[in-house]
This record gives sequence, structure tokens and C-alpha cells, in this order.
Amino acid sequence: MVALVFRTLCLICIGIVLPLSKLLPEEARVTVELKKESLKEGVPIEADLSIVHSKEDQVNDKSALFEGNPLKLRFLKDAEVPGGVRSTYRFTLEAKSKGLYVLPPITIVVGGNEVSSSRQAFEVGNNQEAQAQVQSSGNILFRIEPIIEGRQVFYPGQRAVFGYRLAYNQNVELTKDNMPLLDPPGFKKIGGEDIKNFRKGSLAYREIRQVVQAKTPGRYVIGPSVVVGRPYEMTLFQTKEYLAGTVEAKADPVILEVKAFPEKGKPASFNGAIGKKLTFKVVLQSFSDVNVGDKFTLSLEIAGDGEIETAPMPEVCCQPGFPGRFKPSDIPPAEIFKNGIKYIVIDLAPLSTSIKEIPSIEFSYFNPEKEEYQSIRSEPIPVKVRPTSEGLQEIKEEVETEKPGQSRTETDWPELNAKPEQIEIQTIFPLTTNDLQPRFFGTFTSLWILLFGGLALIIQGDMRYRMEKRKGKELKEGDSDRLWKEIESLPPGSKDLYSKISKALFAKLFETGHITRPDLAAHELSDDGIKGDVKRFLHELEEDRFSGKGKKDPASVKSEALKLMQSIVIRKER
Amino acid sequence: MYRVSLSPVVIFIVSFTLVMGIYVFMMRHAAHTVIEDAAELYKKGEMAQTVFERQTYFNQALQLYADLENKYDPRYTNGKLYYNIGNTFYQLNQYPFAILYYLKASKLNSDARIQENLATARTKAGAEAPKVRRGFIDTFSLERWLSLPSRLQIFSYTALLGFILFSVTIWRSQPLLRIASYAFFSLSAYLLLGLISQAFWGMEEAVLINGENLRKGASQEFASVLEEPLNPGTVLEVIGEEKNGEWLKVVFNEDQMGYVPAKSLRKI
Repeated sequence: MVALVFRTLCLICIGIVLPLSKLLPEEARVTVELKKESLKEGVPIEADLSIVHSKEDQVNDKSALFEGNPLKLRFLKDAEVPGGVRSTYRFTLEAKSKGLYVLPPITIVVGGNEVSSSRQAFEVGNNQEAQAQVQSSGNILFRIEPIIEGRQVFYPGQRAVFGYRLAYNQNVELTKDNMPLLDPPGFKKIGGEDIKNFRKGSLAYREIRQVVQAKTPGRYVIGPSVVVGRPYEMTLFQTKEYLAGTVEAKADPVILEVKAFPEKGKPASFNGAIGKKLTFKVVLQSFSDVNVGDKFTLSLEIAGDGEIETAPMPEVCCQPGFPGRFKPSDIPPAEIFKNGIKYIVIDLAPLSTSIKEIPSIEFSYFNPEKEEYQSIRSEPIPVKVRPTSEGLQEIKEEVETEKPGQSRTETDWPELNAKPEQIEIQTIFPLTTNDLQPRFFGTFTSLWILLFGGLALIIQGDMRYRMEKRKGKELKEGDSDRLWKEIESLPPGSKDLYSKISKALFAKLFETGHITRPDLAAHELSDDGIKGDVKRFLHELEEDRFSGKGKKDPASVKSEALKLMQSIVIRKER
Repeated sequence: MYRVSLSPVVIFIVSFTLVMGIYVFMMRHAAHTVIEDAAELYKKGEMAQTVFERQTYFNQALQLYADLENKYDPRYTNGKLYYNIGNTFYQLNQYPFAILYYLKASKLNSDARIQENLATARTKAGAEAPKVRRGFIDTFSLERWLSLPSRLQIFSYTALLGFILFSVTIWRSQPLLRIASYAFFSLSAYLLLGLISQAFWGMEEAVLINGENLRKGASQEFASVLEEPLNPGTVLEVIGEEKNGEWLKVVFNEDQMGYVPAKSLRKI
């Protein structure tokens, strides 16, 4: 019974409700579909707005609003779908630069009711090859893209800003980073990194920028750039709770080129200044009336459109009119960069009273757009140079007269790049270390020879005198007799016989005053008188001793020697 | 086993000689490297294709030669270093300094190249060669014919020989040797006298490195003796000084006397 009643009620409900439901209005649904091919940097974004509504509801396409502003829709088609109609419209948004964006809801009135689409994220990519790659793992978005502000082709001295932009929707702790654009080869870093963190929509951004200056010519491939990290969330207790896995973002390599300055047409005064249009001026900051040795202070001012701050100082010392006439200061010049003008202050001392002006200074720079050199000359500055310590009194200055056949022009001194003159002199001597040494005994220290030589003579003379005195003491008067007694007591065949006889004879000669020294040699005796007799006797003995003719009888030798001894009498003149 | 015992004196002498030998070797090696570098830079300067390159190389060579001059004092050498420095100055168009160094070299070396380059430098500087004036002292001291190191060498050798020969005669009566020693002593005494007289009374010359007026007094206020200033490179005879050496009294061309600032002169 009950079941029957329930069944009947259901049927009645179905029979009533269904028709009624058809009568009740159904809410419209709005979706937006972005065209992928239009999601490129600089390209207007195209999208389709699809509205599913009942047939009775009219779409008021003029009521479409985007960010509070009317949105122009272009009707594409209507298509029947279960439950209603799908009306499709096309609309266009303005082009965006590459990046991640969130499309806000678009509202439209359908059947008198306002309906809106839901928010959705979309990405605008690069038009060029270096398309940043987005790595998303699940809901985590982590992206890196290179920043190159300025140019990609440089000349040495030109500056640019390089860097990276990291985009993420989740805290990420970096575990590895390879960002070569922040210190690229061939470039010099200027200053430190500039880091900026900010949020845009639902994404967080971190931009790292570095100013660089091109240095070395070459073609450089920088990258690829990679950053890897671990996503985490902060807990209530301010601790990190790491999520599973790592995220990696990668950017393709970037090609940079630093061109070398062309050699053709390079002026001698060029030393690296670069710019589109530069100006150059020289201002005398000191008195124009000085003495020789005092200094002129010049301010070289460089301004214009170019790399002013790093513009190098022109080489003044070697320009025509300066070598040999002006002496630069030993102190490096002061350089000031202010209000877009570079001031270089130098001191120059004039070396001659014939200087009448500070010559024109040439400044050359390279125009990278025209790829050609420009040269600017400053105006000469009239000055007056007086001789040293003359004060400010006016004196008659000597005028240099021109020698015939020699005309003075602005370029008395050759330009730096000019071919040098032929060598007119003989070449150098090949030197060795011996050429650096003074000649042996060729210095005044050789005068010490006098002192040491004199000392040597004195010492020798003294030694000689002492020796003689000692020997004189040894052979005092009466020694000849003592020696003779020793001879008498010599055993027969004694080898000392001849030497003792010789000694005894000399002792006798000495005692009797015939000789001044008892140690004379036989050949030193004269040939006449008793000395001659002794000399001959001693020679005979020597001959007999060494010739081997036949030995003399020692007894006869003794007796002859005795006779000779006895014949030696005191010399009358002593 | 035999023990070799060396006297401490012997050990000291041997080790001292060894250390001195090593030191001398190292110093000569260092000088050899600098000499080679300087010569190479000079050659590069001669081969340079631009004025800038030439100036750079010659300046670097000059720096090395100047270091050698300061370190080794070439006043008693054969003058080749002075000549090379003179050449380098010439290549840098510093003719007065080139003349100065050529004159220093010519006092030590009679090579004809020195005189040739000196003449060329004088022509470039517009400086005339001084009149050759030889006083009694120059002749007596033999400076005209022999350089100072040569005279010192001859004096040393003759004195040494005299001492040696005389020493022999102390021990052996040799009349001939004694006569020979007296002869050597005489010669060395003569040379010594010549050296002393030249040191005290000899002519001192200097080279003007800047153009200057020859003034009548030791001050810029005095008038000039000559109509035109003296050219750089001019050789002057220095005969006195004034104002604590700030001004020098000089003779120009044997007959013109005056004063020039000392800072503009360099003595030969």
C-alpha cells in the first residue's frame, strides 16, 4: 500500500517538476580561451569568450567589461549544446612583454543577469630563440630569464646591464645556481649587484642586475644559466617545511659580441674613448704668465653622448708641441665626473721661455653607430713664460731667429704613428759583465800599493838586519878557532869536513874584517888577495867533492886549510 | 782511520772565498740579464715602425742602462756603457745628454765610433766642438794620451815591479836589479805626480744641457756676455763656483768667461 502511494507521488513529481524545471531560467556559464599562438611578446593577445546560455537568454555583447573597461567582442558563432546554446565571441587584448600574468574575470550580461568568467593564469613568451623555460612541478612555478639591457654587440668601453629575473609562486631555497651573465668573460663588472624583490599578482619576482663594461674583443656564448632549488613552506613556528622534490629553471645561452676598434683610420691620439657625439674643451685654470719651472693647470672637459665617465685622458705629453717643451707632473691627474661632464685636471711645467702658447690638444673618440673615428682639437691658449726668478718685471725677451731652410710648422715633432726617422748613428757596443767591471788596478784603490809595498820593504829590511845581527852573534870573534878544533876532532871520512872547513875559513875572514858577513857564499868573494885564495881553495874542494875525479886526501885538505887559515891576518883597514 | 783537522783560519778563508765567489757569480749573472734585456730593447727600438714604439723601447732601454750606471760606476771601465747610454739619449732626441755621455766614453775609450756619434750629436744640437786647449797639466799628467784607468794601471804595475825588484835586492846583492827597481819607482812616482796634479789643477769640463745665457755675474739680473744664449750641448770649462755651488764660473771657447746656473750643467 505504502509503496504504491510512493510510486504514485514520484510519478506526479516527475510529471510536474520536469516541465517546471524547463520553465525555470538556467544560469549562463562564461569561459575564456586564450589563443596560444598570440601569447608572444609584442603580439596582441587573442582570446575566445564562450558563453553557454539558454536559448531564451540573450547575450548583451556590448556589456562585456574587462578590468572595469568595456571590452569589444566580435561574434564568431552560436552552437547548440545540451541545455542551451554556446555563443562564442572573439576579443583582443593589448600586447604584453614576456612574463606570467593572471587574466581577471570578464563580466557580461546574459539574459539580464551579469555573469563573469573565472581568473586564469597565462604566460607571454619571447619572440626570439632565448625562450625561458618554465619548469612547473605540480602547482609550483619556478622560472629564470636573462636580462640584457642595452645591446648585445659592444665595443670596448661600452656599458650595459646584465642580469636575471627569477619568477616563482612558492618559496624556493636555491641549492645550485649558475648565472654566468653576472660576470661574463670579456667584460668588467662595474659596482656590485643590484637585487630587487617584488610581487606581481600571485607571483614573486627576484631581479638581479649587474652593470658591466666591455673589455676584451671576442664572441662570447654565455650560458646556459641554471638555478635549482628546494621549495618550502614556512610553518607557524617560522621554520621551513620542505616540499618533496626539487625545482629547476633553465635559460638558453646568450651570445654577446665585443668588437675590436678598427685599425683603419685610427688617429694617433685615440686611446679608447667611445660615444656618439662628444665634445672636448681645454680650459686654463692657472695664471697664463709664469716662470720657467712653474706650472700651468689645465682642465680637460669631455662631455656629450657616450661613455663619458670612463673616457680616458688624452695623451698630452706626446702630442705635437709638447715633448721637450712641457714637463708633466709626477702626480696622476685628478678626474671628476659631474653633471654628465668629465673633468681631468693636469699640471704642465713649461721648460723654455720661447713658449708662447699651450698647443692645441687633440682628442679622438670612436662612434659605434657610424663605426668611424672622430677627432676634436682644442684651441691653443696664449701664455707667457719668463726665465726663472725674474719676477713679473717686463724684460726684453730674445726672439729665436729662423735658420734658413728650416720653417716652423705646427708639427715640429712627429706624430706618434708616423714612421720614425732613419738611424744616423752607429749602433751600441755589445756589452758583457766584464765591461762593467773596473780595470784591474785601474782605480784609485791601487794607491794602497804604495802603503803595502812600503810596509813590505820595511819589514824585509828589518828581517834582514835581524838575521845578520843574529848570525853576527853566532859567529863572534874566536869562533874560527873553535871550529878548527871541531875539525880536528872529526872522525876520518866525515862528511862534515868540507862544510866545517868552509865555515871556519869564512869565520876567520869575518873575524879579520875581510868580509862583513860570515854567511857569504864562495862566489861572492872577490878574486884577488886572500879572499881570492880562499875562493879558489873552496872551488877546488867543491870540484873534488862533486866531480868524482878522485878524492883528495882529507889530511892534505886539512893541512892546506890550516895553512890558509894561518895566512889570513887582520885586515889593515877596517 | 786518519782524522783531518783543519785550522780554523783555513776554514774561515775557504768558506769566505766560497761565499764571495757565489756572490760575485750571482751579481754578474744579474748584470748579464739586465745587459741582455737592455740590448734587446735597444734593438727593438731600432726596428720600430712608429715613433711611439721607438720612444717606448728606447726609454725602457735607457732605464736599464741608467740602473747599470748607478750600480756599477763605470768611471774606471772601458767606457762602453757610457757610449750605449749616449746612443740611447740620441735616439730619444736628447742631444745634450748624448753629447755628455759620448764625452765621458771618449775619456775612457778611443774607439772611432764614439767620435763619429759625438760629431753627429753636436750637429743635431747645433753645438760646436770646443777649441782644443791643452795646458801644461794635461801634458804633464799624460791625460792627452792615456785615460785615467790606464794611468792608474801603469802606475800600479810599475810600483809593484819596483817593490818586487827592490825586495829581491834586499836579500841578494844585484846592482842591475836595484837600478831597474829605481827606474820603475821613478816612473810610478812620475805617474803619481801627474795624477795628483790633474786632480788638483786639472781642467774640469761640463756640458750644458739647457740653453743658457753666459752672464757677467752669478745671478739672472746680470747681463749676458754673448749676444746669443749658449746652445745645449756646448762644452764649458768650469773654473769656480758661487753662491754655494748654485752658479758656476765657466770659460767658453778659451776666451769668454762668465757664469751659468749649475743645474744647467753636467760635469763630464
